[in-house]
Amino acid sequence: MSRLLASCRVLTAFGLALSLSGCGPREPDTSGQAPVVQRLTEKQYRQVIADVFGDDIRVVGRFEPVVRKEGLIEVGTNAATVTPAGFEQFDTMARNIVSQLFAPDRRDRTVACKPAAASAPDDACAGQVLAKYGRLLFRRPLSSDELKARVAVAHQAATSSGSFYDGLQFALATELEMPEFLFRIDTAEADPDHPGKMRLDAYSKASRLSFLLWNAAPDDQLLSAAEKGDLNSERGLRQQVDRLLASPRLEAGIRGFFTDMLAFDGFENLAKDGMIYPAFNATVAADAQEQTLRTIVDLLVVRQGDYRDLFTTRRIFMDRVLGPIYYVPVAPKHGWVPYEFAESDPRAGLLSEISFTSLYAHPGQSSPTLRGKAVREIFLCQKVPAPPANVNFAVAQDTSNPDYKTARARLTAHRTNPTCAGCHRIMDPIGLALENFDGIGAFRMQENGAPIDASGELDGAHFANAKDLGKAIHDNPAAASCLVDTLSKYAGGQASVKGDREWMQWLNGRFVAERYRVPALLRTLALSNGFYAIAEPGKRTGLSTAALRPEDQR
Amino acid sequence: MTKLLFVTGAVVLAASICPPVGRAVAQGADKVMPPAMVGHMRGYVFTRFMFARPATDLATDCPQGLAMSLRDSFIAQLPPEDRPKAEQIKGFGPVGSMMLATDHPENGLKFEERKEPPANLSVAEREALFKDYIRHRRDPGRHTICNNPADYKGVGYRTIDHTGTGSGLNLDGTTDGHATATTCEHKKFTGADGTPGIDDQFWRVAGCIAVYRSGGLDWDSSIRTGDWAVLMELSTPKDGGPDGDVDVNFYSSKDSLTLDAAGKVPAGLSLEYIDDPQLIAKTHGRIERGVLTTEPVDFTYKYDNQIVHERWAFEGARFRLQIEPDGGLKGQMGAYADAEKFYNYTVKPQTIDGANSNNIDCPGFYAALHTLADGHRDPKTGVCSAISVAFDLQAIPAFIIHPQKTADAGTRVP
Repeated sequence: MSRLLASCRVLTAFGLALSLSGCGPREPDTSGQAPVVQRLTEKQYRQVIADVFGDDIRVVGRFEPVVRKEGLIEVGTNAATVTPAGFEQFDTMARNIVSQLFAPDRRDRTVACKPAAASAPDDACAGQVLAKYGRLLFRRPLSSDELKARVAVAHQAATSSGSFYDGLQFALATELEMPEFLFRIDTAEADPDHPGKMRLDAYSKASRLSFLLWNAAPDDQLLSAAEKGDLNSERGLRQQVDRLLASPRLEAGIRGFFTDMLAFDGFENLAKDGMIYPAFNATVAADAQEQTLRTIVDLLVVRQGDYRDLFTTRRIFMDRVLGPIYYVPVAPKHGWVPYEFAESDPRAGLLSEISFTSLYAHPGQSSPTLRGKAVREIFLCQKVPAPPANVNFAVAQDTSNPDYKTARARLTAHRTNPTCAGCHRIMDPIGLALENFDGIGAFRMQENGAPIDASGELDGAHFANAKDLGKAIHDNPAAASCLVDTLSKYAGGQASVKGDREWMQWLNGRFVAERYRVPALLRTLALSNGFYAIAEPGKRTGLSTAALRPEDQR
Repeated sequence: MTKLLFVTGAVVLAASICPPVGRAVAQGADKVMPPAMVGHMRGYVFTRFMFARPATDLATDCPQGLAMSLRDSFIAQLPPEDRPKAEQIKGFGPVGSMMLATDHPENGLKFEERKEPPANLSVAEREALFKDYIRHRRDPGRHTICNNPADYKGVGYRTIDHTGTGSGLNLDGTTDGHATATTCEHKKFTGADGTPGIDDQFWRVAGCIAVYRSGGLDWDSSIRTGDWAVLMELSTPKDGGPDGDVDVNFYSSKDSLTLDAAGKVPAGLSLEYIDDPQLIAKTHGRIERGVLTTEPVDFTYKYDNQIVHERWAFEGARFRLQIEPDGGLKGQMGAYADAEKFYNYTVKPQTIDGANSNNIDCPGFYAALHTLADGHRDPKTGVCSAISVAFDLQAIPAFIIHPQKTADAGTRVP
């Protein structure tokens, strides 16, 4: 032990990541999380179907709207239900999927066994198929009773249709419609290492791990590890976590998390006034998201960079669709090319990317307020209250008023109303720093002929423009702790509570010690006890703390 | 994901740092198109590249009215007793309903039998038949009135003869159009602003044809449908100021232009040029008070429009382009085009039906091109074989991508 401590001191002296050596403060206990039931998102549903049946299987159907809670869809899924209309869609999708699986040219790949007779039930063969796919779809083996019930469905349908395959096809479709597939259901068990406490069972652990790191259901290897109990041992868990982190599929996990965190689902309903912004269209919207996600993956995964550099990086990816809006040359006719803005360029960091500036803007103009609110809530985890119902936006929205040519001038006038001033004071300085980007993110120096003043102040840090704002957020401790909090919520499908505070502080400390590397943070989280700890019934109480206290952020 | 190289942007967006050359940023400045710089070169794409057509009065230009169509010219040549019967055949609407006596070099005055396509054809069969028909009608080896215009007479063809208002550049350096060592005697136009000595003999040839006049065809509309485009690179003036000597390069775009939701070509497109020496022209120019004028250069560009795929070659092309307050360019090109080739570019590819529907009388047009040719004078015969032509141009900033030098888009760093 003394040798280990000595090693830790040496490593710390050299500034190496504490997590790599297993050093650092011991993980504190948590109050444990509530077991949750989360409906699969559309992305997850499609991914599971592709993983289980092959990516040539088309998923045709409409998914019910998502709910965003605590800033995340992944948290909202624990409150999502399936309406009768939504169930009809799942039913249609399921029938369509199995009809592809049992198409003449594919049926033998779907059904590995041969029935005794094609025109009659064969429970043994049906059982093999339903067990195999059921395990992958339910993310755990089917219980004996569950399998019996599915086989009985296949038997009955085969009898009435006079076809073994039709019966099996029908039974497999029912697996795709069952709550055990459509919902990720946490199952708790007594924790033998902590008598009197609960923990997730191995299969629930496997699901949490896989959806966190790959945004997909557990693969066969992970389910086997759960089956053998490996996930309940430190070594076995570490092996699987490291395997998942080393996989190229980690990119999908990172994309899934940041797509949710950045609320990119907002693009589905994003509209711009074609007269004002003729350059904006659906392709621009799609590529803007892809650009940001590529940049994130490149910085955080490929280059194992510092998360905070997302706010200052000049490295980005570009294609010919976005080139005219950024006003930069793009050599390849098709596809993406890495691009680095010149040091003198006014753009740097995620906040100057089109995905952010266009999403947080009005259809016909920019919006310092929306942008400021988004920065506060998404990147700093600081809740901005909703405006009062009777607020008058007339001055703020009238861009044709010659007395108020710029957004700064309009918002200054708007803030003369003391009811509005409180919130705008915390949003507008941030948003006004991004005013050099119009409603679709194109750069501009002036608005209505008047020069744009992008200066401001954030928590004591003064800035002159968007790049400086990015630097201020980079240096703001709340940015890193907010990511930890958001990732924790995303991973557990629920907000943190008071009882998690010490554990969150520990997690945040590890993130700092790991030099803000997100894969390292994911590893810490995935190997922690707190990630799998389940609160005793009725014990998970306390107000949701979307953000740590300021003193905890440091 | 493989490790990728990054390109360092060389573009400075701030208009205040890098304003459009030669012009102060004026009103509506937030809509100014900044220069599209790649290295030290500014790029442009021409969104308008069309025969100049001055806004002049038809009665002044063509006192006898518009030139006759191929059909009307043909009918006018019929014996008087045959004309009423011929007049009953209206236009070229149904494909193949009227084929002129194109197989009769003696200018035989007969109509070919109408050929109906077989009934009950599939779509594919109809398309194949149509393609075959087009191929047949455009077959340059086939003797037709538009393929062999010199074998026919143009009747009722009209040209512009006055020396009043016209549009273009002074190509021969004279103000009265007297013959020089390289040009033939010809009439001159006067610019709308009073500039004397304007050369545009092609306007005399085509100016009495409705589709060439204002309100007629947009001959360059295929730029905006993405079929072709001319690109230009302009170096920063050598002394660093807004005015001065510049290098000017012209290319044909390999990439199609795209339009925005307003139906316009947006500034800032990245466009690669065709790496073919025939389609690359380099010259020098000078910017003075926001106006670029270039030295003469032989210039060929690729022109595509539906079934027409040609390379249009010009000799001694000069450009005069005003740098607009919005950062775009507007002006003209004046050049000489070989009369024989120019007929092949403009009329021959259209098919007889196309020429007729555009009211172009092939023999008359062809003869006028040669009669009015003013350039490329044969020192022995004194005959000119090239015709002066003016084009109206508009360009907006675009990033010019060099095919074999993508590093020009920036500096690669590890």
